[in-house]
Amino acid sequence: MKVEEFLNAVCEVLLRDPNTLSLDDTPNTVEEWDSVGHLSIIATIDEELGIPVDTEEMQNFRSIGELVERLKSKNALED
Amino acid sequence: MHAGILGISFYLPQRRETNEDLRRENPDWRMDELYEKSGISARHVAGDDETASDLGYNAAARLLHRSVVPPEEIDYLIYCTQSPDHFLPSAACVLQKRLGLGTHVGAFDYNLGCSGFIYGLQIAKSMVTSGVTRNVLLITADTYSKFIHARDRTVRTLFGDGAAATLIGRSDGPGRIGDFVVGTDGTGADKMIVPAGGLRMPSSPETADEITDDADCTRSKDNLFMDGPAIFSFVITTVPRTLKALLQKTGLSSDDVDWYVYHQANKYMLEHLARRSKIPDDKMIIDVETTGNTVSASIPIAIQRSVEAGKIRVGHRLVLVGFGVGYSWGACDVVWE
Repeated sequence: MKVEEFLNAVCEVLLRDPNTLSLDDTPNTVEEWDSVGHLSIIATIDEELGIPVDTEEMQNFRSIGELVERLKSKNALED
Repeated sequence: MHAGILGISFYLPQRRETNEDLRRENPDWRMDELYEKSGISARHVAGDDETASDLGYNAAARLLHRSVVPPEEIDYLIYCTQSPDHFLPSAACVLQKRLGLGTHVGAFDYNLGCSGFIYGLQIAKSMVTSGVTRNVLLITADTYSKFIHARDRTVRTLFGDGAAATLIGRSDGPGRIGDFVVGTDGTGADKMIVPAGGLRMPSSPETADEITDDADCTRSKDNLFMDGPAIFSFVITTVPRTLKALLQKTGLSSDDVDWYVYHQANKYMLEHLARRSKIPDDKMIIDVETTGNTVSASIPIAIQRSVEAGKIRVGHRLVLVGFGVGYSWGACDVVWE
């Protein structure tokens, strides 16, 4: 999946307009990224990318950029 | 010989906390958004002097009142809780007396959370089908509210107190408790825990020190801690696999199943699990709105309320899945009596 598509899937579960997330975003810059929002992002990884989420690195990420890098290193995302 | 679920009764404490109550107390909690995801609008909370075994007693007394089987034919009482009245004695012994059951009854407690009902059914089925006992009274009861810090949004909004009593015995009708798949992964032990208050870390002034985390949730080591992302990830990874394993073991196809009654964690999680396992919406029981997550009582409460609502009927095949603290999980198929 392309990074852009993934970010839009995350926008959708966070109930944001498309193309409103950047790699710099964190829970502090995105109002909808609260504890429930965080679970929604994990659910999106599970559902859209189908990679195992029962690992620390798929649970604890503090920015969109950090998550995207980890997913790219698993070949789950491409530019 | 087949064992079946012969009856279920449940009890919810009288005190209720609505989302409105929580909002009044915590104006910064975004209850509407939480409700949207969790599907929970109220939960019952035990009174200050009310323990899990009191709730369990009330549930069991209701069940006995229905005279499904003569009380003297109940040979075993099994009590599941994580909110024990005492370290000792077992609450099951106290409940034997309170319920007026005979002294021929075997009774013991076991400690499991959201998987507890499945394990209780497995033990009870084994005892009945092996001829060891005629009928088993299984009581699942918890009062997580006693462990929850009033300012910990992540758990206070989700959990509710409650108890269920389930009678398992020989079935001469269509009812039966079928196959089981269970599992355990103790690496998750610290992901949902009340760290202090047992013998590993006795309660002390230090354990009562309160800490407020990044998400503005406050708790001490005497309180319930839940690592939401870890638990969620564990559940959405493990539960679909467990369902698959159960269907393989039983040879059932998903078309053979009338109702999926999962542990009632919250609406969001159940909807995700349904999508993941391609369970049609109209077969997935979601009943958290007025009770919240009642731990090991959630599955029997959801079954009984669905029976009362006319959804689950005699001969229907149910798939039950429990999962949570431990990590511990289990699934089984049941034909409703």
